[in-house]
Amino acid sequence: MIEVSLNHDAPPLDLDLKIKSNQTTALVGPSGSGKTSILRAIAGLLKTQRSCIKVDKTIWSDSDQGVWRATANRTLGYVCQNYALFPHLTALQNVESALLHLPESERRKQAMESLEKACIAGLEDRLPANLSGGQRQRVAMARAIARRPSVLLLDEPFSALDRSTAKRLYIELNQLFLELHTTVILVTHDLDEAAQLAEHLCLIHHGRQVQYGTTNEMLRRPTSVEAAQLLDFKNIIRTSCTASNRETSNSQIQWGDLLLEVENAPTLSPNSPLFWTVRPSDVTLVRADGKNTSELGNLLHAIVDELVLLREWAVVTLKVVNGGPERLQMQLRPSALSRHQVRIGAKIQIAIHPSVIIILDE
Amino acid sequence: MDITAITLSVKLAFWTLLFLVPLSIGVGRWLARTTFRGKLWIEALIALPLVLPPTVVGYYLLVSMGSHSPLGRFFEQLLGSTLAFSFEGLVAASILVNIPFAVLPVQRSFESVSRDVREAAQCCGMSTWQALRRIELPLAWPGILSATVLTFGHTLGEFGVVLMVGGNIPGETRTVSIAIYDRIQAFDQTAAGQMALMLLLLSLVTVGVSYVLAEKWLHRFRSQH
Amino acid sequence: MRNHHLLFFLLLLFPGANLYAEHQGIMVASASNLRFVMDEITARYTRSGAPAPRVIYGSSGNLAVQIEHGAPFDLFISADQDYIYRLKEQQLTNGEGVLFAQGQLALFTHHNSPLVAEEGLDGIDQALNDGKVKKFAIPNPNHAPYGRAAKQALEAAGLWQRIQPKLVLGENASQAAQFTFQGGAAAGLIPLTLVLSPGLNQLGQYQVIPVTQHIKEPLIHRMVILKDAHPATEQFVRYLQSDTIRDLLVGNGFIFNPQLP
Repeated sequence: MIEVSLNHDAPPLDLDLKIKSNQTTALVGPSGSGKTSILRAIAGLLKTQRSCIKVDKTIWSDSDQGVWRATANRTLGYVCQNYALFPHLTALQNVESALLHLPESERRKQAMESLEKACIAGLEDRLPANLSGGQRQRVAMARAIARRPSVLLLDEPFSALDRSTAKRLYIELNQLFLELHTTVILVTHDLDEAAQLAEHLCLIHHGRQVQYGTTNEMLRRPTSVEAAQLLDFKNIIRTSCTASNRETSNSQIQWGDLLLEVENAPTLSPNSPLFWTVRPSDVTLVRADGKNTSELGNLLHAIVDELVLLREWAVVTLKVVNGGPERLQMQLRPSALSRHQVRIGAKIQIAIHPSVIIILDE
Repeated sequence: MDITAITLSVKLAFWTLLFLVPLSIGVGRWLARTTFRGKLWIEALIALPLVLPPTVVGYYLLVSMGSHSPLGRFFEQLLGSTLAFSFEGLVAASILVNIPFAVLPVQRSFESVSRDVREAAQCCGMSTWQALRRIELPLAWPGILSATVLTFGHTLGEFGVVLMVGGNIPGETRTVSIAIYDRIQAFDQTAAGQMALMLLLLSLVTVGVSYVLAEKWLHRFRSQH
Repeated sequence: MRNHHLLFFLLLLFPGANLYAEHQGIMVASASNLRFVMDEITARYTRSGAPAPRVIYGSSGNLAVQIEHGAPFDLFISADQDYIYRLKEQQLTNGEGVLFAQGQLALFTHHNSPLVAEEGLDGIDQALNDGKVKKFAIPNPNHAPYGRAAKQALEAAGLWQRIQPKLVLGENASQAAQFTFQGGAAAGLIPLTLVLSPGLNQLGQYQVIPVTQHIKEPLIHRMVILKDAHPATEQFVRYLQSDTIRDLLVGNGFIFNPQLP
């Protein structure tokens, strides 16, 4: 367990994190949310006004007790955004720089092992200037893991790479993390990256922790509006609860003139400020012939307001009849557009199953 | 041709460098790393010898090292001879006057070692000394070389300060620049010309060699694509 | 480098190698216009068996300042008596010294100059009217005794106002002399002793300016033995006052006026 407790003015930080050991946790948030500062504070590169950092049972810093372990004495690995490779040393020498506590004969062997794990063996005698971006990233990774650190800190390690290189690296890194069995804390603003690499997600905004949980859970069911916004949920709509059944844990919420059935909602008290949301991909299009509609859940009529064609999806913005003033976003395959004659201004019928409606509190 | 004057100049340059290069590394790195109120004043003070005319600097150095000064008297009591008008006095004056030539390039050089790289060194577990030796100094090397070359050249050519503080004593404080001036005053163009040529060749060779070395170093960083 | 080579190299550079282990001759601080005549004098002195005095030339004012701050000279020969009196007041001298010689001012023109030295300052007057004088060199009157004398001579001849815009000032007498044969100055007023020196005497013509023309600045060179001087200094001073040397000085452009102290 990594316990991180920080208080600071500039940049503003006020959090109390408990991160699971030997797993990968992603710190996710928009630019300026303080995620890099948190990482730097864990590394000891940023000294905050108040800090208490414990790694397993070792205290790395405790400002109340006046304890501070210098960065060099924390068994960590750190990869920053531009990798910060030592430009005057070869890849091998870069990795060996992390192994100075070993006798010289041992260093080369362990450094080569590291380079192999990072899939960059064979280029060890090259200088950083002669390596591509992806290769440099691997060398930086090899250098960070060489010491067998107890915590591996990665600061947006893919932001400088093009998408295809990054995608390849995701696969390699996943493998690496599994082999290493070490705690990895990864800072990113890319939710797909977090989804692919991290088992746990910690949402950070304005230097505070918004929500912490497993990645699956967080991505499927955020609990607050802020979390939903940070996770890029689209249809966040204000509502109020009209009925609540404790036994079946089904509820009813009001949206405009509509009443929507919700499953698995937390017990809601009427008139408390609530928001609901649904993922665009969970809003389904009802076929014109309308067969078997009873199992589809909440049936709504809507008019197509906007249509945006992306590479693999079409994003359709709808005005729901009798619903509230907010517009609803749904996702459709481009082929479905023509099949069901979805055009701007067209009237369609949609279904939102009670189980996909997520209730958010303020 | 006054060989003593030439060797004296080279000796002066050598001893100046011996003291000033480590000093400039320490001060240059400190200035590159720290910020504090009044830092600008310190930097201005360091640049001062660049701005003041050498004879003025020489005069004030004479006043502070001569037999009326506490420093001069202390030295005289300690070693029995004056600080001014001695080789040691010249070395002291030379160090002071060359501070901007030594500190400024080194400071810029350390400033150019990015924070990310320095932090990476810490994250690799390197102690301050290890980071200095393996990362910072090698990367700051071109600046240090520049400082050395500038100081060497400037010391060889230094005239006003050496004349005032040294007193033009043959074998002790008559450097080659003073000797050349002396010959010109004596209307001895030939001797002056010979020594000037010698000085020029010496400087060209030193500067040339240093820059070749620096170029070879920098070449390592450049891409071979 | 092998270890012993390195050691040798270091020893060579070691500054403390004391050159004063044995007496190497007294140190004389001398006004720079005395350069040529002092070279001759010290050469002769050495022939008698004594170690050669080491002479350091500079402007009298500069040398005086250095002496005030502890310069290790034994004897000071100044072109301006006031410096010596000032040093005496600071108790840096043995007494107030003695006369060395009296210098003279000369009008000097380079062979290629449009001006003719033999016509004296009257000739310069005429040349000024004809517009033939482009540049005229004198030592700087602000701090050089010969410069002050030159200014007085020009004032006495009624030339000062008209010649001022044409003046080039030498930092010292030697530099003023250089202007006359290298710097493009048509003529100059410089020490006679420099004109008669091996460097210049073939290069042009000269005319001596009588002392009466610059009586306020008589160019009396004075010498004084400094405090803590080496005992051998006295012997050298006596040598400088000997008849042989005085004859030599007269031959080099100095005079000895019996009316002066």
